[in-house]
Amino acid sequence: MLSANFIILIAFAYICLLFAIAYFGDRWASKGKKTFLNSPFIYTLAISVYCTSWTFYGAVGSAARNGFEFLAIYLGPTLVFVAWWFILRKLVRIGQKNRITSIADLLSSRFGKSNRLGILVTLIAVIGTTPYIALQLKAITDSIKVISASSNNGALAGFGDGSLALGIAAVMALFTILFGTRNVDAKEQHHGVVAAIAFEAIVKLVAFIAVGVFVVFSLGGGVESIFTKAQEAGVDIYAKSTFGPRWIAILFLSATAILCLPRQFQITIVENSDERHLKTAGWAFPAYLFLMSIFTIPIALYGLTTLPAGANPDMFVLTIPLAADNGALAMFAFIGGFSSGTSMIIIATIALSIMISNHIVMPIALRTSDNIGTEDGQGVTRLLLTSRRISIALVLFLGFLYFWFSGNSDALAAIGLISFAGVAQFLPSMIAALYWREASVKGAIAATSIGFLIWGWTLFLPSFGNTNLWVANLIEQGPWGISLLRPQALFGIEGMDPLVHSVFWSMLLNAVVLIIVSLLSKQSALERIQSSLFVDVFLEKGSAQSRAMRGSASINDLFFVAQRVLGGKRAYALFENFAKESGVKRADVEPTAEFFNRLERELAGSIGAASAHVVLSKVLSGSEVSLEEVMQIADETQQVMKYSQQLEQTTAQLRSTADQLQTANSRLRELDLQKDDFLSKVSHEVRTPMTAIRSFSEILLTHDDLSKDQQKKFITTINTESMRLTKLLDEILDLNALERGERPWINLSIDPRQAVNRAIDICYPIAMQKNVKLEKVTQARKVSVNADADRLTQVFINLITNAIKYNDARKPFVRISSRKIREKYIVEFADNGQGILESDAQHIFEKFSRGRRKNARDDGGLGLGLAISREIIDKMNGKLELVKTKGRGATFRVILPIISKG
Amino acid sequence: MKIDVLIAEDEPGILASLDFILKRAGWKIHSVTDGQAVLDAVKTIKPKVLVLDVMLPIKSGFEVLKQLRLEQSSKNLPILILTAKGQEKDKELAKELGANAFITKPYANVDVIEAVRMLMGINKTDKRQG
Amino acid sequence: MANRRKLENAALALSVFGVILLLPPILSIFNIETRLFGAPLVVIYLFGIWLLLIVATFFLSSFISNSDINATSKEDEIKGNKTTESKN
Repeated sequence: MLSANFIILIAFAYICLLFAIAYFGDRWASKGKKTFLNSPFIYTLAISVYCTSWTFYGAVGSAARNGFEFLAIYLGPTLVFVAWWFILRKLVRIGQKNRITSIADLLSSRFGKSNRLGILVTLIAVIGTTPYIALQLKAITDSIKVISASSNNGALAGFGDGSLALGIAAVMALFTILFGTRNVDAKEQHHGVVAAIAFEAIVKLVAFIAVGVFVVFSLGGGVESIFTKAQEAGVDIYAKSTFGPRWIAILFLSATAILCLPRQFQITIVENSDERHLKTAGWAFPAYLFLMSIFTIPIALYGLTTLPAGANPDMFVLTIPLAADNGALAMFAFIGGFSSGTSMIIIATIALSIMISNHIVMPIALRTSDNIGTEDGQGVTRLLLTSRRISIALVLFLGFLYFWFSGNSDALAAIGLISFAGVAQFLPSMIAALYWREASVKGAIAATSIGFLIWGWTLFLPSFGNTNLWVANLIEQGPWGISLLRPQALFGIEGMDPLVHSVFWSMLLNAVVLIIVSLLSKQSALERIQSSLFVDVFLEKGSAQSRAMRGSASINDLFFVAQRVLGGKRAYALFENFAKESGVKRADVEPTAEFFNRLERELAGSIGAASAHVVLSKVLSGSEVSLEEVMQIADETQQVMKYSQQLEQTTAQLRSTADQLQTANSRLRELDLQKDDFLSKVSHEVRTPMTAIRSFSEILLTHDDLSKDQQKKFITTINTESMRLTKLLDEILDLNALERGERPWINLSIDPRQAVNRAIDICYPIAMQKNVKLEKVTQARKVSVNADADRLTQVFINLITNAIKYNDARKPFVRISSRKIREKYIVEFADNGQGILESDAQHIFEKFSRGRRKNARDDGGLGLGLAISREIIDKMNGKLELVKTKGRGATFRVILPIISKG
Repeated sequence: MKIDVLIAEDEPGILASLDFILKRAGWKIHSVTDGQAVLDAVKTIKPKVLVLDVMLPIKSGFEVLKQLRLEQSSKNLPILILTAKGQEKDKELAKELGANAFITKPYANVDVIEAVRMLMGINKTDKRQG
Repeated sequence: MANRRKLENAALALSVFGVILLLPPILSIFNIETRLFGAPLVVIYLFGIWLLLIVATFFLSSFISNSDINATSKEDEIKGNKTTESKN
């Protein structure tokens, strides 16, 4: 057998190993190396804190006593995780969005941040968990006793159960304090501890399976043999009575417990770092439970068959290997059991300490003290940590006390189920929190209280019935002899299983009270906001009803707003500082203008000046501002800060969109100006010929004495001007059509030299008339370009006639030269006229440009010709440009891309 | 030969019509076709009235007007502005720069004659006062 | 994702059937004094259903892509998403 000293040493070494894992886990986490710790499997393993020593030792005990009933305890959570998409996902989402720190926080937060509900839930959680912790202490103590039973000269010789349990409690308290309360994090996540818990989950699973394999295949000779031998030994292997109301009740309770147990809530919801982990946990956690349960029945049956009748079935996992003289396996099993006990203790005390510090200590401190949190919230942090450390020690001590006083209670499973039924009282309110908008804080408090009272009366109190005569008497007679109120037979209903009885009445009344009180009571504005935040966590927060907040703002309203925007600590510090400076108590701060300005500045730092101003000025003026509106701004802000990266991205997109809009806008404005300019120019160009036409027609009409010559001269002018007008309109329409691409345009492969020649032929008479020498200087070799032959000719004619028209040189000439350079066909039209002023050169291709109209104006040079020409050449993918030349005159150049032959 | 009306117009058709109707109205006419020529002609031939087109080459009618008003000799010269632009702001600008009358093209012949006649009147009054 | 709704329905059906299969009266059918693979039938039945639930959930979950959960959560955080979420 193993010496007690050795076992204590092993246990201590094991705790040191946990320390190391937790320490390095924290180190990794703080360095941002969370890849491993962030795995969904670590998360799943941590959830397995559900399997406590109650599972490790107690499930076998339960199987030995109550048949297959223990399976319900693992099938319930299996169902909840199989349906992870529906409840767990919503809980996790709500938890992350609202930074929920515990189940008390969840309910308090949902029901209008009710402090009373927070306290109630915390108290129930503590009362419900204390027996459970006692259970772990008992299991660990028992296991140490069992495994070291034969060695009386070890270190345990002088210790009783109590001091052993107290020692364990103290060590666990130390460990939990060291790693559970290192810092106060907004999300209350403990990466190191979670890593340690995950490790423990592996240890307990492997240890249990090792025992199972040893029992079934080494000792028992296979599954069939175990069942057969058990049957031969008179054990009821069918346990047919298992599947009655109690089965249903336990299935329900275990499903509830996986949601409502403070430690499960802590691991599954609060410590969840990624919603996607649920996807893995959905099947992996049930698989873990499956593996953890598969050997329970064979171990129990083998124990019942082979061990002496008085053996405690709860310790079969240890006693069977010991009986088989396998000390190493027994030691391993002991470590496994130790693991399951410690992991539960650690997480449960952390969860409870957070609840106690946040919902009991903080509110009291805030109410009674005036000078907490004055320096950057440091005081608050210190208070929180201190209160948590004390809470951990206190909870463990309470557990120890329960263990001490109920030392005779021998069945582990019974205590566990009492705990389950206790925390199940949170379920109706929790489900309502998630899905029922109308549930009110009054309903939740009333329902939870009544459920808790019934549980206390019908299940918790009777658990002392074996040790306390007064309680036993109460169970028998009812209070003051009122038999209708007997704890295990409420309203005279007898014969029910006490657990089923308690669960039935407590849950029924809990739910009924919740519904009735909620329907009868009125929700506060804050409750409504919170309810829609929770129920509609997957929806946009746009559906908040407009509920006016009238009248002047109270300091509470302001604090509420500040808290939402700045976070509790900063808001508190701000109000506190101001109170201190004005020499009043925090509660007596007046919402003065000065205070408003200061608050606004602070808020502006978080949500931007504009929003801060809107929020506060609305609150100040008492104008109709829905509280929801304020909240929404604040909540959006929090989200915005949380997702600043995404926002930056969005901002960048917005900025680029704005830029594009600005560009488009200035382009539009430019186009608008161009249109005005164009209209003004068209107007001018139309009015000019019209003036002459009108004037001369008036002259012809009013003067009868005109000579034939005069008449003819005037009519000729009218005619010329009319033609000019027609041409103008034609050109405008042509240009417009070109610009809009209205005319069908077909570019064919043509020889541009032919177009040049045609243009020269057409212009020749005009040149002759004006005495201009029109000559072709050089000509390119045969090329092909993609163009419309008629249009190209039109451009050349325009260029040549311009060159002729405006040429006032004494020996005027127009020279045309063409050549092929690289893959371009280039033709130039040079004249020796006055040329074009540098300042006009840039505008020459614009509509109605007057660059060349200084002198000649036979047909009133409309200024559209070049604009049209350029448009045409553009359509041929070519270029029309004015070339800078040294000498007199102007040179226009047309460049067209050559299409390669083939 | 004392010139009555100086016409500054670069459009040949319009110039011909103005020349005809104003001569018919009995005035002696001289015409120029660009802005610089107007300034020169005003100094040399000292017309009684100036009919000034806005869109003139070299110097626009408004520039000419501005410059004429700056010089002592032509400070009070009655000026009729003719413009084909016909926008309100041109009329405003003309008034501001000191034009005495403003007619938009296309005009009715009688309007031009009436306007010139009126400006002749101003000129006479001016003379008497001076 | 068009399949997503069907997946959700399948997940819901799985949970509901899981509950029904683990409760009397269905459970009572298998609660008889018969042994299978050496163990009482009802034990094999319970572990069988258990395994079935695990495997089915594994496959259902594997159809829900990570980006799917992630995408909705991002949208929800930023602007909410009414169309892809069903109120459970």
